[in-house]
Amino acid sequence: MEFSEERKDALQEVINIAFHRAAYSLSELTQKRVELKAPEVYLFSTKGLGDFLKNLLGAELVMVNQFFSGSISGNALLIMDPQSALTLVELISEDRSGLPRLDEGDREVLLEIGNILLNAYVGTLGNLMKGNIAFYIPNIRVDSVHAMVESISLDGQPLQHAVAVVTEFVVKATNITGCVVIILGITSLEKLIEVLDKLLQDKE
Amino acid sequence: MAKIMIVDDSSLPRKMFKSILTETEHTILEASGGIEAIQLYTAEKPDLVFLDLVMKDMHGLDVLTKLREIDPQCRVIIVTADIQHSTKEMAFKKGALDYISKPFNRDQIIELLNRYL
Repeated sequence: MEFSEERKDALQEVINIAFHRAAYSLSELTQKRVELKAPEVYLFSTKGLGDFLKNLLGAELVMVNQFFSGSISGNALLIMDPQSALTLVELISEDRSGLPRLDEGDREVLLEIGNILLNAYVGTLGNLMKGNIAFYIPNIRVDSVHAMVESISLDGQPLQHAVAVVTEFVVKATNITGCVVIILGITSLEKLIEVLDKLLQDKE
Repeated sequence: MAKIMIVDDSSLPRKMFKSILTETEHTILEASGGIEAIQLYTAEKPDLVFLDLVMKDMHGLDVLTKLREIDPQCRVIIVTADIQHSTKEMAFKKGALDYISKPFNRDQIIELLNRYL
């Protein structure tokens, strides 16, 4: 599988469109402006992903993940540091307990936020591929970055190497930062690249 | 005054619905899953149902099919984070009255109530 600069460019553009749909949803929920960094595509080992996330967000993280299958299959992850997660819940949920850590109610709110963002993101990819992607129930985990990365699976197998599409976001006028990571297997990446190639041909 | 049933396994959207619907005089019924929704629908015959799709016990499209078996005239609006055109088409094929994406806002819900009640 050749990953030319042109294809990488096209993938970044597609991801950009998809994540802007997700950012719009986050902005609607928080009533704040959400800014995105340009998406990046990486080939990670498990340790590499852990080191990357630790460097970006810290040693302890909150992750909402949702498996999806259909036109493409993978695992979508919304990842934040615990303080960002807490602030996000406070922005959205008026009746939170005020505890300095995430309680059960907060986790439920984060699951729903994750569900909305990850569906918007991956659903846009489904629309671009003119297929259908089925979503599974989201899960939440609060853990050290390396334990969390060890827990990430794909197609029922622990993750060893994966293509990760990483988009960082910032909710303006708050201290909320985070990222969405889409973990794809090789087959799904190939399918996505077929669609990109078609998009590139249509452009010519 | 109508009976409106909200079906979602997450309490956040149910709370958001309630805060919008308390402005109206409608009666609000809540179900936190598909099985509860089917039981509540049978008992209460609500005038309008807002139904989520991805839920722990049953997928919303299966709930919709079941509700239409119980009552072919049931009025169900899908409220989901899934923004795919193909999912929307499936929902309409199964008899959904309308389809809105999360996050929803007050104006959207009031407009739907005005249109369908």
